[in-house]
Amino acid sequence: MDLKEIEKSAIIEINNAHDMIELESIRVKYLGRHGHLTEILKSLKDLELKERKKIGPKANDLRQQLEKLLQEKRNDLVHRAEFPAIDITAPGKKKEIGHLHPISKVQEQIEEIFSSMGFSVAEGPEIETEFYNFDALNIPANHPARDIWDTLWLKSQAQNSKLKTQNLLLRTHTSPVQIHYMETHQPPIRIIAPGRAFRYEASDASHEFQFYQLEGLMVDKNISFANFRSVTSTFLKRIFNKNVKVRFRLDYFPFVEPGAEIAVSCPRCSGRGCSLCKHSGWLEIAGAGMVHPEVFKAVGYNPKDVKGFAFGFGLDRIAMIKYNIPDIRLFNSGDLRFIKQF
Amino acid sequence: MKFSYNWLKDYLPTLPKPEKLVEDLVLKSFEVEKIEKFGADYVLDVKIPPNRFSDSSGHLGLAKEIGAVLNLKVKEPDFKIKEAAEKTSSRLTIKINDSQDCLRYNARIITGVKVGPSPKWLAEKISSCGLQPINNIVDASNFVMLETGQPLHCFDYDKISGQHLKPIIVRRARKQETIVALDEKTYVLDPGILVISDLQQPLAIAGIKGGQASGISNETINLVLESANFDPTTIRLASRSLNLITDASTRFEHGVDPNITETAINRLANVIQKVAGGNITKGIVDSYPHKQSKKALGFDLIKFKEFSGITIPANQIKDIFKRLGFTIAKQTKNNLVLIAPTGRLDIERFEDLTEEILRIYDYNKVLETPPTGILIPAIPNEEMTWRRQIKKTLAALGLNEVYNYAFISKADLSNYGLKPEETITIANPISSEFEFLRPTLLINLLKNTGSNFRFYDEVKIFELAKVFQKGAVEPYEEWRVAGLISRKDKKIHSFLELKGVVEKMFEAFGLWDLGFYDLKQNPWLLNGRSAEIKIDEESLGFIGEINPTLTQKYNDGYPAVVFEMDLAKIVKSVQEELEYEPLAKFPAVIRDISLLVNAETRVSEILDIINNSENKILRDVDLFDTYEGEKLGPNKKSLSFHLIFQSPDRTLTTDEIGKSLEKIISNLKLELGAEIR
Repeated sequence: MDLKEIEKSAIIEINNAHDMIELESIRVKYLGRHGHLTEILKSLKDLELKERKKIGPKANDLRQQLEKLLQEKRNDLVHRAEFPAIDITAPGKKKEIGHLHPISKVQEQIEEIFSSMGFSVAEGPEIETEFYNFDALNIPANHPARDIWDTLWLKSQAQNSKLKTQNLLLRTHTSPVQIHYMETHQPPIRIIAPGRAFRYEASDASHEFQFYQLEGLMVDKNISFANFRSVTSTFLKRIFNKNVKVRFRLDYFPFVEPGAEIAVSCPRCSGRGCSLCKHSGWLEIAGAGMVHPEVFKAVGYNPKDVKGFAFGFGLDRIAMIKYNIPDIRLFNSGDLRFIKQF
Repeated sequence: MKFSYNWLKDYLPTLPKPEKLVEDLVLKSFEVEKIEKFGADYVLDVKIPPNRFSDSSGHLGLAKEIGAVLNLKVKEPDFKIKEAAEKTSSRLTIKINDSQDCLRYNARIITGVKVGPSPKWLAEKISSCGLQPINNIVDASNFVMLETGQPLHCFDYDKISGQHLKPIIVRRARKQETIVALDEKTYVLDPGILVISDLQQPLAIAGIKGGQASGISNETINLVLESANFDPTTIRLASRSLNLITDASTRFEHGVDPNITETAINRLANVIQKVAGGNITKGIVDSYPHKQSKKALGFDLIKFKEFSGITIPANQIKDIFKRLGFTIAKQTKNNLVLIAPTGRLDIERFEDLTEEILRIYDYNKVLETPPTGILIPAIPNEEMTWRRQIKKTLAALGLNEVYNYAFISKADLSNYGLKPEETITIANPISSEFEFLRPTLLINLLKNTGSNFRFYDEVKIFELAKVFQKGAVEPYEEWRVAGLISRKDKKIHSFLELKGVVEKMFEAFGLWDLGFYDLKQNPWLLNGRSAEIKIDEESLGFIGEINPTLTQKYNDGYPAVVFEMDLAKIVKSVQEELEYEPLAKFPAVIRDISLLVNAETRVSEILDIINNSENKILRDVDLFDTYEGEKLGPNKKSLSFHLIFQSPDRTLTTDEIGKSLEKIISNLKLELGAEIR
């Protein structure tokens, strides 16, 4: 055997050795007193100087290499006895952890985005008076605009501070939080207000009488329509993806003027049209606009001194779009087949 | 609201195809909910917002709106009426009792008409908008309403009481006064409702529906045409109280331009004459006590630039206003004085004018500009942050988060022994299943187990939400957290598992001294398997196994353990931040003891004795094994504890630990009769 042959076969044999005895016989075969490599080393002295200088170092290197491999293999065989191999392809043992509701997840993402833009989180009650849910938002009693919000009324009534009895209701939107917050804070204001809202409405795959909204409000001395577009677009691009197109169109809400509806190009079909966007290419996301001067008056601000914008959208709608959820009623179903997917 | 495409095209000859029209309309004007083919025509279902009924609830008004959006010229209908010599005012007088109720009342008379079916063009026009053709007179009134947005009515002149000069009175109904309306139903009226009346009886429910007695029949020859403007709120309240919503009442309650009554009544006379013949008496009887004048509004161009954040050249702004039918009464370098079209009752202030400019210019062309100004850091909402922490911790401990309805049913109330009068009730519930607001999260969580057992053998869930209670003065709501474990396998006891979840959750927040005390008074839970959860003296809520009478009703009787706690109280107790304790410098020594005690002996009793026996060097006591079995003898159990001895300032000697252990053991023997194994 020449050096090349020894190297090739010795390495294979060492690697394949199953126990110490086999390993020892391999050592003897190559490095023993009459081993193949030993024989070559012994024969060096009979070679020409030139030849010896050529083969000598190579043979010595190989000896060192084989000794090292033998030692490693010995260690390995010792450990293997104490620590038998594990089938690393077997499935891992998993500890059961619970799942958060998809709306909790979406809400957290949204709060983080707005928080990075300087928006704090505010809250308000779910049982409201007519004043906070309607009047203060420029939706007077006996005005047809009230018909936009089908309301669940409570049998009880409340005494307000002026000792006037007020009808109580379940808030039909999160917009009353704007009023509570402005009544107790001075501009500059940047808030979002997530929460539940309720409507007197038959439920189907896209309508629920109990749903989840997120309200936003920014008020300062100089806030423009261009700012309004920038903040809401930035948010939508971050929650969906930076390539969605954002479309603003005229819409009417009594508490904003100018009023707008904001839509995004359908993230599923990129606006080409699919079942999610009912083949329109657009998904209506938010109602929004510049805060109406009457709303500022209702909270005691001078409309001449402040400007702002407000927006509101469905957390459930965003979750439905993001996670491809076909039926809004799943959110309130308590069905673990649904929850455990998130 | 339904609009005929062909009808609109009458006023806008170059109107683009329906699909293209809708695209532009939706962006800058109104939402179109549907386009439907209707014979050779298309019907557009346009969502007119409440503030735009006054100008856009008729075809001509909508055509003007479209004209402004698309920059097209509107061709208004051109008509003339031929009047007879006899004066209307010699046959009819109008009396408005309260000018607040009725801003304006116009009437005309047409004599000698021939009532009959409408010609094809008229029948088609009103059918395309979803109205049923009745006869040429009624159809003509509907046609003019659909054209102008002004509701109109025709009476049979000969059915109105009085001799040659007949009075028409606009007044409030009397208490219990009745009228049989055109729908043949009898309505009982009250003083909240406005009527049109003669000297004897109501002829019509003003602005809502005509009366049968004075209605148009095939025998009618002479007509009174009514074109009036009623107070929106009065009409709305009357329409609601009678539960009668009509095309007329819908328009009136949104507000109609009082200046169009005259055009509308002339147009009606014109159309009736065309389709039913007859002679139009001379002049209009017009009662218009407080004439509405055209309001001039200033528009500050610099303010507009600040508000919008963009610069639009003054000429372009003026052009948009003109397209929308505004008159520019005056202009200076930075200011315009504008007069809005009379139908635009929604235009009251600067912001309204700004919306007009921006929408026609196109919202999407307003360059996005990030806000500048002082950067205020977001203030974290502490309670919400904790709520999120709690959610994440409970999920990490294996519970799944559910969201439930805030409502429960009457059956739930009686099952849980709650009284309807003590529970907040919805006046107009969606259904009987959702009639009351839930005072506890437990009820719906237990329902969740029932529905999930169809697919799972084990349900571990939690919910964070508000519950609602009737307070002394008014209802109040509070945040709660509740968790539940239920299994089909009745041999596995879940109480200690759920208790562990609660304890671990508090430990994650740095609270180790949670107390559990016997709870006897909760009828929803089993005695002996339920506890009150306390921190210091504060009661946070309860934990316990749900009473089988309830589980049998909601989840086939599978045992369920539940906890429910007041979130505000949890947050209050965990708010004190975690505090660092110096790391131990001296080693701990662990001694184990196993006790044989009576089966009813409680772990807390043993812990109390141990802790009272040694309060200096004993750092912790852990129960690590519980055993009950026949080997031990009847009514006995064995409990094993690790006792951990450690001192912060020295290494403990075997001797002092031995002495301490001896004292502990002797007290356990003395007080509990425990045997040390």
